[in-house]
Amino acid sequence: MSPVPADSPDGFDQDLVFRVGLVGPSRVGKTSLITALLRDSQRLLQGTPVSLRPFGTPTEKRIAQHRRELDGSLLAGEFTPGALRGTEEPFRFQLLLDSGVRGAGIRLELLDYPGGWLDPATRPHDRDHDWQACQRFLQQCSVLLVPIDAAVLMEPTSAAQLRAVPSILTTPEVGEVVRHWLKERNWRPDEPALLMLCPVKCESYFDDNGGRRDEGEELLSRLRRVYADAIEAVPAEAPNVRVVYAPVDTIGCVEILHAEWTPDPREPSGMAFAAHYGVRWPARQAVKGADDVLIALCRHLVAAQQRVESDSADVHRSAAEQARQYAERDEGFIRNIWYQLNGERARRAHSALVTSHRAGEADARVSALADVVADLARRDPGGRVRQW
Amino acid sequence: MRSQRGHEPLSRLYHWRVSIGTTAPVPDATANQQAGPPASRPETSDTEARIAAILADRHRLLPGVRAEGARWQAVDEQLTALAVAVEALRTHSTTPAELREALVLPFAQAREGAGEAVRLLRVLEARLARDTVNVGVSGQARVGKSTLLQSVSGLGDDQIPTGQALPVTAVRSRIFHAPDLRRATLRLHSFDTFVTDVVAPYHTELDIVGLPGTPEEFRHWPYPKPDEIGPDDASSPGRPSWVTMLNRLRAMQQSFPTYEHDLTGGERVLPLEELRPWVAYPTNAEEQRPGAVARRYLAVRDVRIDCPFPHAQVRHLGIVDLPGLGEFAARADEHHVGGLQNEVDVVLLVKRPVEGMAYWGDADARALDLIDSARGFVDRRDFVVLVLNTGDTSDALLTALRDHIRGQVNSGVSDQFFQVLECDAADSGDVFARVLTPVLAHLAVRMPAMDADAVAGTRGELRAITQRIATLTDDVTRVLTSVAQSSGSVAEDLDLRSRRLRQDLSGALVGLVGELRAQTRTVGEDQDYTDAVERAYATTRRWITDGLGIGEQAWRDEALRAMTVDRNSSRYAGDELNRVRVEISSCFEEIDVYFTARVQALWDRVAEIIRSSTGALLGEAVGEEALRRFAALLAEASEACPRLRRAVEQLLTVRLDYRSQLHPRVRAELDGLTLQERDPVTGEQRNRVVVEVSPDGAEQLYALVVQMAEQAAYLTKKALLLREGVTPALVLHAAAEQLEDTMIRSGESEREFKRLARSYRDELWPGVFGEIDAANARVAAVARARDALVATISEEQA
Repeated sequence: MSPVPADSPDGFDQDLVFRVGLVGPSRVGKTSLITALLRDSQRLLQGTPVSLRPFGTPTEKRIAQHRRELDGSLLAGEFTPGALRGTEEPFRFQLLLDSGVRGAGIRLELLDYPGGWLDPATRPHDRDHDWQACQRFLQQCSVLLVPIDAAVLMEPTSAAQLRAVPSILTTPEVGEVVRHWLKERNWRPDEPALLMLCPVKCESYFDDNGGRRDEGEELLSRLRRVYADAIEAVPAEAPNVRVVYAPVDTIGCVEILHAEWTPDPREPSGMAFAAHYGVRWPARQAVKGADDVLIALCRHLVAAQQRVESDSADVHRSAAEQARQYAERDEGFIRNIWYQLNGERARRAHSALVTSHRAGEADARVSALADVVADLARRDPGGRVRQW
Repeated sequence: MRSQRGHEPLSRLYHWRVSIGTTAPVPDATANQQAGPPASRPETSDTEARIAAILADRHRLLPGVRAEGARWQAVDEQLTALAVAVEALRTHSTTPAELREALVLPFAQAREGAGEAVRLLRVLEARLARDTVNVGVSGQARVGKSTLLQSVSGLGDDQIPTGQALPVTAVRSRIFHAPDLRRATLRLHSFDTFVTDVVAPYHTELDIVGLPGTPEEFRHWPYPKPDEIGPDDASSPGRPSWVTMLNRLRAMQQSFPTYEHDLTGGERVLPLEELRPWVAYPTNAEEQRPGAVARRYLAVRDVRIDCPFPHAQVRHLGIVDLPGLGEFAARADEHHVGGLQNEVDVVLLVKRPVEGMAYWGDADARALDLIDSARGFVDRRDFVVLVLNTGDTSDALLTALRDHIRGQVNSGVSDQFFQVLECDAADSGDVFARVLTPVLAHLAVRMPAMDADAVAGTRGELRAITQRIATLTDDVTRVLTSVAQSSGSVAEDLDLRSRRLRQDLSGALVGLVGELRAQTRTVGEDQDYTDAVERAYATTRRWITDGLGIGEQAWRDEALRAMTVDRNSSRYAGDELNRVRVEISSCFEEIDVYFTARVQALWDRVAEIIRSSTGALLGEAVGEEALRRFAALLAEASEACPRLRRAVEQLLTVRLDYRSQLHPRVRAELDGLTLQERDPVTGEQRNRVVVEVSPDGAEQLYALVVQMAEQAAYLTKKALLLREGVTPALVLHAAAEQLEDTMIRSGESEREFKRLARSYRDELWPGVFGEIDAANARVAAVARARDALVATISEEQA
C-alpha cells in the first residue's frame, strides 16, 4: 500500500502514512518482530534527532505488554514462544519515524491479523468481511513483510516433520497472498515495491550474536525451498518487486533447548511444533537483524523519492504529462514521498508554524529526518541479508 | 540228381579260431559231385579209414565251435543284460516319453536269435563231438525196425525186443560197436526228471493242472477214471486219444511201486542179459495179470549198449533206435526230432511192404517231413535213406511199394531225391551187404561235405542273427546319441547351474545394495533409526531433568558443598559439565540396540539371499548362523573358494556402534558443555557460568547446567538425525557393496562359484544330480551293455 496522509488517532493527520503488509501464521512472531524493530531502531538512530516509536495508545499498549511478557520470560530463564499471547483480532501497529516536527514524520502502519485467517480451514466464517478488509490493506501496501519462524524451518529432523513445515508456516496461504500482492504490484510497474522475507527467532542459527554455530546458509536454503513458490512468483508476476531476505534475532539472548513435534489432529498437518528456548546467560536482549529491515524500508522510501524526482524532471518535458497523470492517479503517493523527503512538506508544515520561535529548529529536524532516511538507505545491509 | 557242393576243406568254411587239417583221404572230387550211392563202393578198409579220419577232423573243429558256442552264449547273456538295461532306462519314471518310445526295440527277436544261435552251435557241437558215425533207424511201428537193429548189432530180444502184435520197445537204445564189450549203461531218471520228462507231457496233453512234487503226491494223484467221464463231459476234450493217454498215465501211477525205487538218477551198468525189463513194454500176458504191472522202463532215460557187431565194417559205428514214428505217446515226435538232430549222421527210414501198407502213404510222407525238418543244413539226400524191408513179404507187394516210392517220393526217377535200399531186415548178412555197407561208404564220401554244409549253414544263420543284433545295437546307439545330445553331461549342467547360481546371487545382491544405496540418500526416512535416536534422547533428557542422575536437591546440595569449599562455582561447574558430557554420550549408546538390529537385519537379508539360491547347503540355519555356516563350508570346500569365504567373513565383521562410528562425528555438539567460552565482544575467554556461593547460586547453577545439558543433548539428537541419519545406511551399504564386489565382481568369482558348485553339488541342488547321475548311470549301463555286446559280436566279424 502506498503512504498516504493518515487519519491520525490523535488528530496528528499531517504525517505521511507508510503501510506495510504483514503476512504470516499465528504466533510466528509478528509482534516480536515489530518490538525488535523498535528496540533495534534505538541503536540505529542513536545520535540523530530522529526516533522510531509506537504511535498511538493501542500500539503503545500492545508493545508494552509484549515487552513485559518477554522480560518476564527472560527473567525466569526460559522462553517459550507459545506463552506469548497471539493476535486474536486484527490490529494495526502504528509506528512513527518521528522527526519531532508535527506533521513531518513518517508513520509506518503494519496490519497484524490472526494468522489463522490465512487458512480458509481455520478462518471463522463470520470474519470473512474482516479478512477481505485485511486483503485490501495488504494489496495496497508497497511493502510486504513475511515473518517466518526460523525454528520451524530448521528443527525438522524427519521426513514427516519436513512435510509438516509448509502447513505449520501456512506457506501455501502466504504464497497465495504474495501472489495476489504481486499481481497488484504489477499494475503499478513504476512504483517501487519490496517483499521482505524475515525469518525470526534466528538466535540459534547464527554465530554473530552470541551463538556458537552458523547455520545461516542452511536457513536460507531451507527458506528458499519452502517458499519457492512465492519467491519464484516474483519475476513471473512482478519483476519490479525487490526481494530482501533479512533474518532477525528478535530477542538475541535465547537458544533452542529442544523442539517437539507432536501429533495434533487439530493442526492441518496433523502435527504441532513447539520450540523451547533457554536464555543465554547473562540474559541481555540483543536484537540482531531488525536494523536490516529498517534499512530496507528506508531504501524503499528513497527509491520512491528517486522515482518522484525522475517524474518531476519529466514534468518539464512535454512527454511528462502522462506520467504526472499517472502519479496523480496514484493517490498522490509519489508526490507525497517527494514532498516529504525533499522538505516541501516540511516547509508547508513550517508555514503553519512560521510564527513559532521554534521554526528554525523544526526546519533542522525535518531536514534531519530526510538525512537520516537517506543515510540509512545508504548503509550496507548486514551479512545475513540477501537480495534478489 | 541235383548238383551238390563238392567236398571242401572244413577250414575254409570256418572263420572260427580253429585250425584243422583234413586227414581223411579225399575221394576224387569229380567222382563225388553228387550225393547218392557211391559210384564204386570203396573197400571196407577204405571206409573205415576215411570215417576215422573224418571223425578226427570233426574233433579238431570242436574247440572252435565250442568257443563260438561260448561266444554266442555270451552274446545271449549280453543281449539279455542290454535288454534289462534298456528296459530299466525305458521304464524309469524320469525318462522322457519320447525317449521311452524310442527305446521300444525288438529285443525279443534278437534274444530269440541268440538263443537259436546257441542251439545251432550245440547241434553242430554234438555232431562234431561224436566219436562214432551214428546211423539212426526210424520207421512206423511194425516195420521191422528192431529186427534191423538186431541184425546190425547182433543183439537179441532181451536187448532189442521185437514182437508180432503190440509195440514192445519201451526205451530206445543207442548201440555202439565195441569189439570187447557187452554191456548196457542205463541213465536213470530221478523223480524230478521223471515228472518233468515223463509225467508232465501227459499232464499237458490231458489239461491236468499242476504236477506232483513228491512220489507220494504222484502215488495219490487223483487222476479221473475214463469211465467216470461221459463223452459230453465238459472236462473231456472229447477225443479218444484223451482216454488212451489217461489210461497210460493211470497205468504209470498204478505201476509206480514197481519202478519208484529205480528213480535214483545217475547211471547203472547191466549185463545185456538183464536188460529187457528196462527197455521192453510188458507183454500182453503180463498186462493181463492181476496186480501192478512192472514198468521199470519208466525209470530209464536212455540206454547205451556196447557190444561187438557181427559184421563190424567200421570201428566207430553206432546205431540209434529212434523213437517210433506214430507212436502213441506224449511228445513222441518232439523226441524223435531231438534225437535226429543231435544223435545221427544219417537216418534209415524203414518201410515194409506188408499187406495193406505197401504204398507210400500220408503217414510215410509226414514221417519223412519230420525227419527232413531235423536234418538241419545237411543235404536231404545225404541224410535220409529209405530202406525197404523185404522180409516176409511178397514180390508183388515189394514191387508195388518200390514203384510207388519211385513215383511218389522220387518223382519217377529212382533215387532222385532219396536213395532207396532194400534188404531183409532179419538177415544180418543181407542188412550188412545191402544197407550198412553202401550207407557207410556213402558217409565215408559224403560226411565231409555234410559237415561242411552243417558248418556253412550254421554260419549263415549266425551271420543273419549277427546282423539282426547289429541292427539292434545300432538302434540303441542312435537313441543313446540323441539322449546325449539332448541332455549334455553332468559337468555341463553343473557349469550352467553354477553360472545361474552366481547370476541369481548377483541379482539379489544388486537389489539389496540398491535398496541400501537408496537409504543413504533419504535422510529421516528410516523411522526405526529416528525412533532409536528419539528413545536415546528421551533417556538422556530424563537423566538430565531428573536431576542429572542424582536428583535436583542432592545435586544442589553437593554443588553448594563443593562451591563452599572451593569458594567459587567454577571447579564444580566444570567437573559437572564434564560428567554430563560423558553421561550424555553414554545415554546415546542406547542406539546400539538399533544398530545391532540393523546389522543383524543385513545378515538376515544376505543369508536369506544365499539360502534361497543354495538349496539345502545351509540346512535350517538362518541369519548370522547361516552366514557363519556358509563361511565354514567355503573354508572346508573340496576346491578352495578363498574370495567367497573372505567376502562372507568380511560381512560378518561389520559393526555399527555409536561409540566408534557416530560419537566422533557428533562430539562437537557437546562442546557447549564447557565452562569456558569466548566473549563475542572482547574475544577473550570467560567463564560461562559464574554463580555466587549460596543456595540460590547452587539453584541457578543447576538450572544452567541442566539447560546446557538439554541443549547439548538436543543438538546431539538433531545431528544424529540430520547429519548422521545416513551413517548406518552408509556403513551397511558399504558392507553389502563390498560383499557384492568380492563375491560377484572379482576376477575369481566365476571360477570360485564353479568350485563351490563342484564341492557341494548335491547340497546345492539336492536330488538333481543324484537323479542325473542315476539317469546317466542308466544310460551308461545301456552303453556299457551295448559296447560289450558289440565287442563280442565284432569278434566273429573281425
